[in-house]
Amino acid sequence: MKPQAQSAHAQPLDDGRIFFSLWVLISSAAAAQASVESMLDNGLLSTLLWTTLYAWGIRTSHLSDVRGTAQQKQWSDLAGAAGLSAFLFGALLLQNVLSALIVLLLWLQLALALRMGGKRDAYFSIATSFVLLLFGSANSKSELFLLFIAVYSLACVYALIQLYAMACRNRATGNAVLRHPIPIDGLALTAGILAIAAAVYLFMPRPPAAHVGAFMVHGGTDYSDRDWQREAKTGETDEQGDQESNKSSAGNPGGERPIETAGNKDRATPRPASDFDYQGFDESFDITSPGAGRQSNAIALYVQALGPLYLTGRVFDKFDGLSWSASDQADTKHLLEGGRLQLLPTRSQTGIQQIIEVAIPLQQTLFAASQVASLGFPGPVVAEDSYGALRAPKRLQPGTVYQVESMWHSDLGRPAHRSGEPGSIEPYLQLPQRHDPAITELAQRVAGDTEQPLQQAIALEQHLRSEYAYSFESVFTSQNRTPLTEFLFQTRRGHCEYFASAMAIMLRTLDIPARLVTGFSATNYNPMTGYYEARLLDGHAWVEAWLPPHGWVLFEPTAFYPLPANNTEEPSTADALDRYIQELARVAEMTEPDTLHSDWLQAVKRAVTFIRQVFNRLLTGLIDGLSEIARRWGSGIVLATLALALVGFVLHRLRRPLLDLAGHYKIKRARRRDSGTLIRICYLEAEKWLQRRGVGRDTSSTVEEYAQQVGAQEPLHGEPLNALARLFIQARYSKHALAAEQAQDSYRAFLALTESKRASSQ
Amino acid sequence: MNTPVEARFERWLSRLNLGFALPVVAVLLFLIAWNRGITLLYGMFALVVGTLVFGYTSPRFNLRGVTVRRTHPASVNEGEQFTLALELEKTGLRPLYMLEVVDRIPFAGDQGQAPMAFIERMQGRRRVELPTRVWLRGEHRLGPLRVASGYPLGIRRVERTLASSESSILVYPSTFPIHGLALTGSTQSPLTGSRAVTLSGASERFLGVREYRHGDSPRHIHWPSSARTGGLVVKEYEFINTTNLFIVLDLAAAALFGEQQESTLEYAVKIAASVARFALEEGHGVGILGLGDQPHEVQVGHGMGHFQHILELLARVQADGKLSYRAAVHRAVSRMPRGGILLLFDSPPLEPAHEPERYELHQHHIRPLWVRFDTESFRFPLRRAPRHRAAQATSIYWVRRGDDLSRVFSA
Repeated sequence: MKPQAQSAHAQPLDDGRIFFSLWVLISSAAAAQASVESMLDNGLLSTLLWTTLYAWGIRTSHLSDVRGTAQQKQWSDLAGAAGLSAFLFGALLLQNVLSALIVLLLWLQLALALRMGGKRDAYFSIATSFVLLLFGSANSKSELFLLFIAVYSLACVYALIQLYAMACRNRATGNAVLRHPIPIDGLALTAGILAIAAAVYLFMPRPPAAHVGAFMVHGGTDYSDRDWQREAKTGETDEQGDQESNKSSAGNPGGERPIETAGNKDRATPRPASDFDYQGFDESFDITSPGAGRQSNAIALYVQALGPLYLTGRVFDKFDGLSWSASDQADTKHLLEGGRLQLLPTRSQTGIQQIIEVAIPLQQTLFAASQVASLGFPGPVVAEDSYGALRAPKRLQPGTVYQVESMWHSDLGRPAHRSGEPGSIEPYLQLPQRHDPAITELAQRVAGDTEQPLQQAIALEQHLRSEYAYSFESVFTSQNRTPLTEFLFQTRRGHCEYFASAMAIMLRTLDIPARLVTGFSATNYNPMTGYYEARLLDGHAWVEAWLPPHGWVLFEPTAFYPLPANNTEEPSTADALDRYIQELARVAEMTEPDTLHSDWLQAVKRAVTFIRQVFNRLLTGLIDGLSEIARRWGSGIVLATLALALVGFVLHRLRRPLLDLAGHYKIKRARRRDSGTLIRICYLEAEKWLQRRGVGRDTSSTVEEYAQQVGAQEPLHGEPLNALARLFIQARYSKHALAAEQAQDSYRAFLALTESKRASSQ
Repeated sequence: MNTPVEARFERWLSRLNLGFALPVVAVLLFLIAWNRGITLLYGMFALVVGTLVFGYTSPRFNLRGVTVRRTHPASVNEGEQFTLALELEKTGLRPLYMLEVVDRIPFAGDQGQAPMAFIERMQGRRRVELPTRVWLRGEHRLGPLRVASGYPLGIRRVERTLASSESSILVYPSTFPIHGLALTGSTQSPLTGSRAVTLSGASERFLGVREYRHGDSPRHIHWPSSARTGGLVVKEYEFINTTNLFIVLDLAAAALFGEQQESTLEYAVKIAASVARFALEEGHGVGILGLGDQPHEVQVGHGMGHFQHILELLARVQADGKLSYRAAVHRAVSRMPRGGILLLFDSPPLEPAHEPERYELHQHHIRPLWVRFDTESFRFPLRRAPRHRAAQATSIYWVRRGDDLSRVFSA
């Protein structure tokens, strides 16, 4: 008999396969966490450490009984104590509660693994590892994290299956339990779950992020500056602008060198060497050598926003033919309260939320879509220049997260804003001293007869986008000292600073106030992580033209870059993924055409394109075919469908009587034949007749058993079917021919069987 | 953790199942992903949804192409262990995972409701043998067989009842040994002199031959032996004092006290079977009668072959009658020849059957043998009243719940 029932969750884990699944599960969670935030600054080492420790813990638990040994308890307690100590150390001394919590969870997982005895421990282990994975998901910006999620989920499914199998075995205790080394259809299970998950992931519409109760600000870097804070408190305006001081950099935990930007200093002063510096974010820059920073294509910023954005870094209004600078150097310091700053008192338009995470050390510029209404930043003070651009007191360090709400609008189908509304338009109409009149002629010719500034600007934009080529090479090789003329009339190729400068000057020649803006183009959306990735190569320059009443309207003269469109149509993840891969391949093709990385991306692009083409052709063909059929034979199809439905309904209702009639007819015909045949047909028809009434014969039942079972279920049928079964067995197995009288008996039995149903129903 | 909190936590945990937990996790993941715009969490959400969908659809496909057939002996004795075999077959290329076979076995207690077999993986044919013990006599219907699967996660458990998978098994009542019972020595013995008269209940059996002694009846001279030996030789007979025993069961629903095996009916059936076997082994004739929903009767007969008929009747009887016990006694008396013994069951506080029938029994020279149940002990098992004083004083067999019947009937 069954042993006394045990509490379901206290059942001991009796299977090595469960321990193995749990080890994979918790190890994958630890590895996922290590890939995001390694305490040892080395993901691989951290992964190896924890997987080894967990393997030891799980194996120890597996080899001991459910209660565990005293030594196990000691080790487990020690792991718990280590976790608690690490948590207190991290939370109190390093002031990093989140990381400390993660370390605590990792140690607790080890403590749990060392005393893994019952089903409840397994569930706790799953829950703990799930929390670890959630932390990782919230912080990861890598699409590879999806792989960890998939491995974790499958390990979790396998562990849960084993636990379910264990429950089944316990339920059947005392009875027959047949075990198997591999009780899982691994291939079908994995493929099935992944296929469904992929379909859901790729094609499920995702609503825009609500950000309810979420104010994303995260630092880890000391962004305080006493001078700036003092200025903010006194309300002084710094006419010269500020740069990061040597004094303030002393407290910089990142140890970054202070920047000496050009500003009001001599332009010949050498800039600090940095792989990531782009001069376009300084106070002035030379369009022929905007910086070596863009040689790398590393991701500089992760941007979470509802749509693609241009993140403004600097605004320039003064051009001397070679360099851009700002005519107004003044800036205003703002103190943040609780990490928040409200720049616009009321919201007149719908704000655009951006959560921006810095991925590499950058200049002080706080990149954000123009006209910042509110800012959340992990520092006490920021500066705002006359054009509405924001700066931090120190260089931005990786891991810094800040949140911005900007007031973009798109009356004209392109972004526009009123940030840095000009008191006077003079600075924005200023031309270089050695301005080439050919440029003015070109601008007038391109603008044509239209008097509308907007139409003129669009014409110039289209002209530059269509007639000039974008070249990365020109980014790295300086051209001559009269770059715009060279660019417009000779080389006709260049990087974005040439395009933007050319358009700004050409607009000014048409008396349209214009300025050049540098920043990041955050238009490449990675659907796997949900972030717009602003890479160093996305450090960009574009044009803003003052077109009342719309304000500053953005123009993108560089064909390589798409202007952020006000696209309300939300693409599916599959489409977004396609676009992302196409974009990566496009950039790789231009920047590193002969490298393995580029080849690999091209291959992925071709594969995706092929799959999409096949899918599109199938879908298109199906839709076209159906449309054509509907066009040609639409009414006929509807009528035929209705007729078929009617016939189907009638047949469904009449199926049984018709089949009964057919059975009777078959038997009547068989009466002309020999007795054995008639008896066989009578029995087989009787069986079919019963089957139509839901009393089918199981393949494992003999004829006699079937007759007995029918008799038990339907007593009226039992006797005639028994008689039929006896005759049928004789007819089938007897060596002697059966008499005609026996054939008549079988016929009578068949009639009695079918009549009995009628009688019983009456 | 103190005990009440732990117990409450345990109860809360026991209510948790994946069918509830996974949708909750999926909803939470979706809400977090939506609120924070974390696309990776949409990936986790998709995997949980994928698991849920797979968990809900897979069990139905898993049960396709399964057939199970049960085999067992047609009849067994109560308390006896027999082998219940399940022959499983899975058609198709895809193996079957985590199959539970559930059979309804009414006589096997809790075990009958538990899965008879759990098979982690199966393809082709498998045979599962399960030793089963029968605890209750009767004609039992087994099945229908059900196959169930919750593969892979048990989120949804699909169960399919297999058509035509019922069968029946006849469980004979168990017996206890009786070493001695006063079935003979009746004052109304039909025997007179040294020869059995032609009344029921007595016979003589040829024992051998011996030399003639004075006074021997010339009728018993064995002439062929006398001729061969040259002296008178007589046949010698062994006198066998046998009688007819008729057992009258009380099958009135009102006379049933107790439950299941611990009921007056089951005790009566066990006593009847044991007494019948003892009597038949002793050479007496035994018949049995009970008036249930329909009359159950086996005429008086001899030999162990006859015992099989009695057992079949005893296996099937139920306390479903409406007629009084007196009617059954009356009918039994009318069936009996003069002389013999009636085994009667009495269940106070019901009206005693023997008082009104005493005269009738006397008239037919029938000796009653009473079995009286202590019905209080059957109705209230926790009460343990002392044995009735009358039990020691008279020849009535007093039976209480839990008595060792072998001792009671050997006293």
